[in-house]
Amino acid sequence: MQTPSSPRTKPAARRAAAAEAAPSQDMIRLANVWKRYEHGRFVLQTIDLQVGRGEFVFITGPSGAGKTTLLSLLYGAEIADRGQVFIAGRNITRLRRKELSHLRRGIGVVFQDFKLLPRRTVFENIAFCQRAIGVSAREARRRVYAVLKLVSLAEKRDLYPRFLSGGEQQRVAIARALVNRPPLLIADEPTGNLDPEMANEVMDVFKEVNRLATTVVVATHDRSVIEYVGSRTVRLEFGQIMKVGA
Amino acid sequence: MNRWLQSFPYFFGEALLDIRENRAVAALTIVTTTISLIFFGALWIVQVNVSDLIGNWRERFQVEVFLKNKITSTEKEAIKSAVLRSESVERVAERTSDEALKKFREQLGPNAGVLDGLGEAFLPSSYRIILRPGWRTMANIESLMARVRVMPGVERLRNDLTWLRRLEGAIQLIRLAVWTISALLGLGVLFIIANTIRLTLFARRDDIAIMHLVGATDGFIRTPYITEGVLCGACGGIAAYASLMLLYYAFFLPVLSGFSAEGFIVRPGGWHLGVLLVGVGASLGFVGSAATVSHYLRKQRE
Repeated sequence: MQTPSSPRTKPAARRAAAAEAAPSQDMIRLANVWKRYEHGRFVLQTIDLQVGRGEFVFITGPSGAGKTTLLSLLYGAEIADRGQVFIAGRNITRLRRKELSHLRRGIGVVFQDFKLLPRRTVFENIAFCQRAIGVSAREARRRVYAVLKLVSLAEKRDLYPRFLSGGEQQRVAIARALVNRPPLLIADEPTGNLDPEMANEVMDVFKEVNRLATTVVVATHDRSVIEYVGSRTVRLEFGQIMKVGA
Repeated sequence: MNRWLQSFPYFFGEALLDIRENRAVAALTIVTTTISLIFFGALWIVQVNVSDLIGNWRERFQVEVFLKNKITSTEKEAIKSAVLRSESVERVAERTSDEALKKFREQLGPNAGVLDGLGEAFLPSSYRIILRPGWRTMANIESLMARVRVMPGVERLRNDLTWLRRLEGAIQLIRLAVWTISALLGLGVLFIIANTIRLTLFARRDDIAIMHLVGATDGFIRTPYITEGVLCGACGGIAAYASLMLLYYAFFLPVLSGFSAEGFIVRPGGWHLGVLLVGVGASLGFVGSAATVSHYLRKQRE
């Protein structure tokens, strides 16, 4: 996977990464993935899933079906107990810590509760993430302005999150996820706290990003959102994939 | 390295932000570090000055060889050339019995009359052996005295070896006390800085989670907090140095000026002490914060 935010990655590291990453048509491939938590119950069982590059996929299912766990496996917050998780051809279950950090720069993640930092402004919330991965202040400023324009929040850059509506806060979270121009965007119930109109606004941003070749995976149980976008859905129940369909 | 340097303004800015946001805790840490380093600096000054005092005294140290009244000139020459052959000896000065009596009379001053009638040569003649600088150690002095004592014509030897031994023992004890107390104070500072960083990490747990999420490496996450620890420690060092200088020039110097006339001068340590205190403070800050943030990140991964 490209890591657009790390243009100064050492040549040796780039060569090693290129050698390890097998060429693949799939952005995501899960092969016989199992995951269980400490109490012993399996949250995910025998998960086989492929998501192509540039695809828009919904993961759906009732609460407790394992949607959040599945997404956590995709950005390395959780490690599968069994099976393989490939992101852009790289098996993330075998990555070292530093390699995982570099891989995450190519994955944007959006949460239902936004996870914005309350003591930082809109601009700082996004720029902070850029600075944290070593992007220069000038380049970070340029990227943040560009992404704020994309989510139509440029004029609110100096406000603190508490002065924004839920939809606007979610758009800031999306801007933060997109600022690295990631090839993969993962969203966990991104419209869970929004009214239908705002939910559709958020989906419009996702559709626009997807149109620009970013693979988008959204976990949701909101039927109206799925119908609004009208793309492939993967239904999870009791930790297993029950149905894959358009 | 280049990338790290480019990011240094970010690390520094984040560290300052943390200090500003937790200013009460940071101030408490700096004050505690300052107090500990003042004690450390004061002990260091005491140790250095006592060492200097003993060093000065040792530089004035000499061995006096008293000669027998009936010594022959051949024996006298033999003693002198044997002493001068030793590489630790700078020079040998002879004091005849007349010169010894004259000096004694001078020392007695108005009471010199008590010496009248005792004869002209009742005091023995002697050699004063002046040792080379750097050779005035206990071992050299003892070795020289052992050789001279058995030579024919030597009545007895006089030196302040016992006092030198006691003083060297005392300075060893002072050194041990300084290191022990410094180690205990250092542990205290380490613990306080570690605790401050732990509180900062707790306040910043959301930031850290997001940093992980966007692909920040552990090194990048760690550095602002280590910078904060180093800053707190270094500030404590600067404040401790300033306080010690203030105490010295405002209080001790006026009091000690009376002693200075007798050649007793206490040196405050100068810039060496400043560098030492800032260095020790910064190092403690580095170790305390690095250990805490590494432990925190390890726990986060588990």
